[in-house]
Formats: sequence, structure tokens, C-alpha cells
Amino acid sequence: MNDLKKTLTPAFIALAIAFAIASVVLLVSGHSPLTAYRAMWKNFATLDGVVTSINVGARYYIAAIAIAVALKMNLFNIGTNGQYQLGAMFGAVVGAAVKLPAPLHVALTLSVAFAAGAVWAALVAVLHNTRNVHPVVAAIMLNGVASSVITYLMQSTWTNFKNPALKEYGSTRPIPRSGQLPVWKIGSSVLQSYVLLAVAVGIGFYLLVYRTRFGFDLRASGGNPGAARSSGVDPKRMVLITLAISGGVAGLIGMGIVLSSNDQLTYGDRFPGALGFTGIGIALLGRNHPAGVAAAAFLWAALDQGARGLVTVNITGEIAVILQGALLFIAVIVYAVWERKFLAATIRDAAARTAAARQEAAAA
Amino acid sequence: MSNLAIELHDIVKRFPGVVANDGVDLKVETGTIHAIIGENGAGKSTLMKTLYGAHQPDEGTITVNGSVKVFRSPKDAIAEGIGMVFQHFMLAENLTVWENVVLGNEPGSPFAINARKARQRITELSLRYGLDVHPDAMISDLGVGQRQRVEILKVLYRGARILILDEPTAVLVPQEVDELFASLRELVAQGATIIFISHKLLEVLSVADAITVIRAGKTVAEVSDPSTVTSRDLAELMVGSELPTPETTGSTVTDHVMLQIAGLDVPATAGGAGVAALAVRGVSLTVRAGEIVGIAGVEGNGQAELLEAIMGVRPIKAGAIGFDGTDITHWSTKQRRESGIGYVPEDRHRDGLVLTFPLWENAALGHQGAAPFSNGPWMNAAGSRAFTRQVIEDFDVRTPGTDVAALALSGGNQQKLIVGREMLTNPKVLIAAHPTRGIDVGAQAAVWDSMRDARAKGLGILLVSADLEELIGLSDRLLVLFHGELVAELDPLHITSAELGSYMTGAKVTTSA
Repeated sequence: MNDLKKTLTPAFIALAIAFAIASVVLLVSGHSPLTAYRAMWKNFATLDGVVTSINVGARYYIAAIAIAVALKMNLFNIGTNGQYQLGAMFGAVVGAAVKLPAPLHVALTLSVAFAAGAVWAALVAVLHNTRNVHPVVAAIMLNGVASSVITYLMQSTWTNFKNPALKEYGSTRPIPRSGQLPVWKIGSSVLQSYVLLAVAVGIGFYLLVYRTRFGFDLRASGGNPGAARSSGVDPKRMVLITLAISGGVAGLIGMGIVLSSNDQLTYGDRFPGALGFTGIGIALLGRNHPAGVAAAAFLWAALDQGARGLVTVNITGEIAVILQGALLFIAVIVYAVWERKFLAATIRDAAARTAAARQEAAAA
Repeated sequence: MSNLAIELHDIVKRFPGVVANDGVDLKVETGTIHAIIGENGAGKSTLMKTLYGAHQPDEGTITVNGSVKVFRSPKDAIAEGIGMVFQHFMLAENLTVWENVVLGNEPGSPFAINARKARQRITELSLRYGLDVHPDAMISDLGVGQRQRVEILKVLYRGARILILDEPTAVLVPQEVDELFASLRELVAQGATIIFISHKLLEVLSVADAITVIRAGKTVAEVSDPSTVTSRDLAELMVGSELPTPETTGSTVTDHVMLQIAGLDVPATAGGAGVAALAVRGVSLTVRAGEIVGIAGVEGNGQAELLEAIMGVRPIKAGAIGFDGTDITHWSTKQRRESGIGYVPEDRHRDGLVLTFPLWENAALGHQGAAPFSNGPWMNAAGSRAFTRQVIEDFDVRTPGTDVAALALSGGNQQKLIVGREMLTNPKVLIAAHPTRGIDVGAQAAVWDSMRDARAKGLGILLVSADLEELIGLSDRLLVLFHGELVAELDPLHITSAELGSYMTGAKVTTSA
């Protein structure tokens, strides 16, 4: 209980400050913050608003978990943006091309997406391990390379038909029914079963990181590379596997869009292009914890959803982006301050309890 | 009447549920070296933090040069001329001596540092107090002893006349200790006052003008004339029981070679091949079952690199390593550890612990592939916790439990945890660097006992230590490492610390036996 309070308090402090900042911006630009927030709330607090937030939140969640896995060993996989787009494209191409019974079809498509992301992220590790390229630099470069690769492949004939309605590189063929993830109608809204995939990824993340030997090595490498090495962890192997997992998870980010019948069912021009970067912010906000990230992902998606309501009161939706940005910025600061405070308290507490135990022993 | 620089009267400092200082009195005369001794957790640090203004006492008074003071922060203490020299150096490696000294207190305008003035002031200070450091030397080029002098200069530069030194000799070899003590005497001769915190009783006896012994938060003795007491008396005052000795009894050395190193060359920089200078050159040695082989050497003569090479953490350039009859030269660190090579690394914070991990996870570190720490791919938290409780009990690790983060423990208790986890996992060979560094007298005995017991059961130990008494007392054979080469093999039964010291500095180079 106490722990929960300790974890949640800084998040709420950050949220309050972020809303305060956004309010100032609104006031300065001559709008009433109250009007704005009421409009946002109105657009969110409907069945459709909530369901959409959950659907979008699920992909944000997976995007953030991809980041969090690597961050657990202090690796910053800034390349998830390229990895998820490659995953989505290859997944969409393969998913549209094969004919298989439903569960296998979906499993194959997801595996291809995972593999594409994993291989692309593994390149970062290979560059780092063999040529000593900094992972962040390698990943950023590979983001650029990924978009070129995608443009090239999408324009070449082997992947797709050109969508005559669209000018650029068109899109892949739609995924047939057997390859789709189920969706559920709730009133007029549609909930994607991709949400369950996000839940599974979250549970998998938790078990892997906190319960397995691999996760132990991973966290040890992040906590103290020297000690991890002395304990027998091979740092190069660790970087390779961790980045591959991170990239593989990233490969799944776009699959809700590709595989849900209420969504695009293709990879193409209209595919969102920055989910990877959004994931970075959400991972930070959720402190890389499976539950924290879930809350952060939902909050982020809810703010997105609310922002769409701003147009009804003639306020630009960018105020939500300011809100998100401020939230992230403030959260990082508040968490750092909180952590320090908490750390000092831990040390004091341990010292006190040790001394108390000793005095008890001495008295006995 | 005597002239008191510091008088702490009846200091009480409470933390939630406990009294860390319970009526401590301390009287330090101006122009003296005053030692404060006590076990880990006796309340020395709490007391020094009070004096240094890091926290306020709940009761009691602080009197500096005759007037009562209240310190709200270390700034207030510095303003009264009280400066602290910490055990862990806080120096920027890539800056020069003078830059480090003035850091945070730069003379000149906000836009330009008056370097000439700074150098002048530092030269003046170092001449005056006999602290021989060149203001333009880079910190990265300096040895441990010189770095410590820079730390002292930093404090003096800020106008301190009363210096608190926290275990200043922990990182020094005997010759450097002598130099430090000479500097301290010079400082005192110039009117400064020094408060010296230490575990090393012989050193305390040799340098202190007066001694205060603290046990369980209380002042238990004040010794105004150290020539009237022995180190044994002090130790008994400190722990309230008898002083342990590191001596091993009888030889348990067998013929069975557990560790064999032949012609080992290790480059100085990790990963550096070919051109890099060698930190270890042509080292060959054997450790047999039931044998403790001690390696003596001034810090930085290749000990760290040798041990890291044996553990497979650092690449080697030439040579072979054999373990229990198997060539393990190309084995990974993991294979080496899993096959039974225990490791107590030199720097516990860098290589021994993950400070943010709880104790039970730290206890698994290095053994995470085996029971009771893991079960197949899964970690076994219950098994690790049970093991950790055993370590806590056997090695007297002072902690509220197995689930606190390692960073909450004092250095000595962290060290006990590391030694305990290595000893209780029953290694065949133990590679140990400074196993009792920072551990107090009482717990040292437990560590030595466990090493002796394991040796009797056939453990081979390669021991590196800066504590020469420990090295001489525990080892069956002593090897001296100088500039990366083994220059002498000595019989610990027939050597004194002083003699060993001269081998270590290269003053004496003969190979006997």
C-alpha cells in the first residue's frame, strides 16, 4: 500500500504541474483552460472515446515495452521507429500473401513482424559489438535506412499492388479474414483483440525481466556492467539478445493496425509514422514498469482522444501535444527528485533498523 | 588550561527507532592529532556528520574554539574552519591539481579564473604544510597518496584549520602511510588540528596524540597518552572482546594443483592488442588445494589485471591458465565461475555488487546459474533469500533483512556479503582481493576463520591484500608483484611487514626458495 503511494505520488505531482503549464499556455493564447479541458473530457468520456483510447493505448504500450526492455540494461533503443515499420510492412506483406487456417495465419504474421523488428535491432548490436558504434547512433542511422528500404520495397513490384487512389507508394494488399485478429463490437465501438496481445507482452515482460535468469543478467548489466561481467555475464551477447527482443517487440507495435478489421488491414501511406518515438516518452513516464507503463500508455491515448474534441471549442489540438510534452519533461524531473529522496530515506531506514536490531541483541 | 579546538558534549543523535549517538563526548586539543576509533556502526560516521554539519544533533553542544556553534550545513562548518577529507576521493581525473583544488571556489571573475593566483596559493599551501604536489600535474597521472594530498589541499584551500580525515590510510601502502603521517605532523606543527578516523590500531598508536574510543554510540574511553596502551587494549575497548589474529595454524597444503598460471602476459588496457603496454608480464604461479598463496605489491603493480585475467574478465596476450587439471585459458567468465572459481573483486562497487539490487539478488550475483539461486531458466527468490540469511548470520552482515538494497549497507557490511556469498557457495579456488577491506575487527575474524576452514577442506586461495599483516598471517607462500612481474617468493613465517614493504617497492629484489 505504502509502496503504491510512493510510486503514484510523483506521477500525480507531474501530471498536476503539466496541466498547470498547459493552462498557462491556454491563458496566454486567450483561451479558458476550463473550456479546453471540459471539451477534452467530453470527447474522451464516451464509450467510443474510451474504447479508442484502449485500442490506441495498446499499441503505445507495446511501443513503450520495447523501449523498457532495453532500458532495463541501460540500452536506449531509439531505433524502434524503424523496427516497427519494417515489422508492420513485412507482416502485412506475408499476412496478405499466405493462405493458412486462422490461428496459424495470425501466428505466422506476428512472427514475421517480430522477426523483422528483431533482425533490424540486432544490426545495431552487431555494429556495436564488432565496430564499437554507439547503439544510439547506429539505431538513429538505421531508422533512416529503414525508411529508405521501405520506400524502395513498397515501390518495387514484388511486394504489392499500387493503390490507384494514392499517389506515393500505395499500400499492401489487405489481410484476408483468416489472417485477422478478432475484434469485438461493443455498442457502436470496436475493441481490438490486439489489446490482449499487449497484455501478453506486458506479462511476458514482467516474467522475463523480474523472474528469469536472463532478466537477472539483464538488470544486473543495467545496474552495474562491471559487476555483471565479473559474475559471468557476457556483455556482447547480452546486448545482442536484448536488442533483438526489444526490436522484436517493436515489430508488433503496428500489428493492431495491420490485423484489425476496423483499422487499416494494410501497410501503406496512411500508416502512423512515429509510434516508436511515442513509446520512448511513455516508457519514461511509466518508469519502465509493466503496470506504470500501462497507465501511462492509456493516459497518453486518452489525451490524444481528448485533443480531438478541442476543435469543437475552436482551440487547436496541439495543446494536447504541449500537455504531453510538459508531462514528460516534468515527470523526468519529478521522478529524479523523488528517487533521490526515496534513496536517502532507504539508507536512513536501513541504518536505523540495523542499529535497532543490534541494540535489541545487546540487551538480550 | 588546555586549548580545545573542538568540544562535543553529550551528543545524542536519534534516527527513527534508534539512538546512533547516545551521549558522546569528544575533546580535541588544538594542534593535535586526535584519533577516533570504533567498529563499523559504532557511531563514528554519525558523529563526524554532526561535526561537519551534515545533520544536527538532537541533544548536546558543539563548541569550536571556545564558543558554542550550531551547524545547519557543511557550509557553516567550513566557515568555522572545519573541513572533511572523505575516504573516497572526489577528484576530476581530467583536470590538473590546481583546477581540482579551486573547483567550486574559483578565484577571479565569473568569466575568467585567475589561474596565477590559484597556483600561487596552492604552492604556498603545499610548501607550508609539506604537501608535495605540483599544481599543474594531471590528477590521472597521480598515485593514490598524491591524490589524497590533493584532497587535503582542497580542504586547506577553503580555509580549514580543523581537518577530519575518514580512514585516510585505507587505500595506502606502508610507505605512503608514512608520508601521510609526516604531512599530518607538519600540519599539526603549523597549528592545524586533525581528527583521524581509523580501524588500524597500530597506525593510530603511531600517529595520534590522543584517542577516543566509541562503542555502540557511546564514548567508552579517552586515551590522552597513547604510549600507555597497546593495540590489543584498544581493540578490546572497541569490540569488548578479544582481538583476533590472522595466523594460520599448521600447513594443509596438498600436492594437488588447483590453479596453474604459466607465462601470463596481460595488456594494460582492456581490449588493447599488440601495442598496449603490459600490466602483467610473464607471471607463472601455482595454487594447490589447501594452500593460500598471497600476492603482495603496491597497488597498481598488476594485481588487478592479473586477477581479472584469471577470471576471464580481461583479455590476455599470452600464457595459459589451468584449473584443476583443465586448460581454461579460453573459457568464458561464466564457465570459470560455474566450474568453481570464486571471486572477491578488488573494487566491490565497481565489480562486486549491483547497489540497487536487494541483498538476496546480490547474493546470487556470480552464481545465478546454479541452485539455490535459480532453477532452470527461472530465478529462485526463496532459495536466494534463504542463502542470504545464512550469509547474514555466518558473516555477521548488519542489515535489517534480505530485501534491502545493497546501497543501504555500510561498506564493511557490503564486503561481508560478498565474501560470504563466495565462501558459502563452496568454491574450489578463491580469487580474493582485499577480502577484509573496510571490515571491522570483529568481522575480520569471521572472514579469516572461514578462509582457514575452507583451506583445511582443500580450498586453494589466491589472495591479494594491501593489509600486510593479513597477507603474512594467512598465506602459505608469498609472491611479490612489482611492475607486473613476480620479483620474489617469500616464506611468510620468516618475514616482517617492513621487509615485505621493501620488496614491494622494488628496493629489494632477490628470489629466495
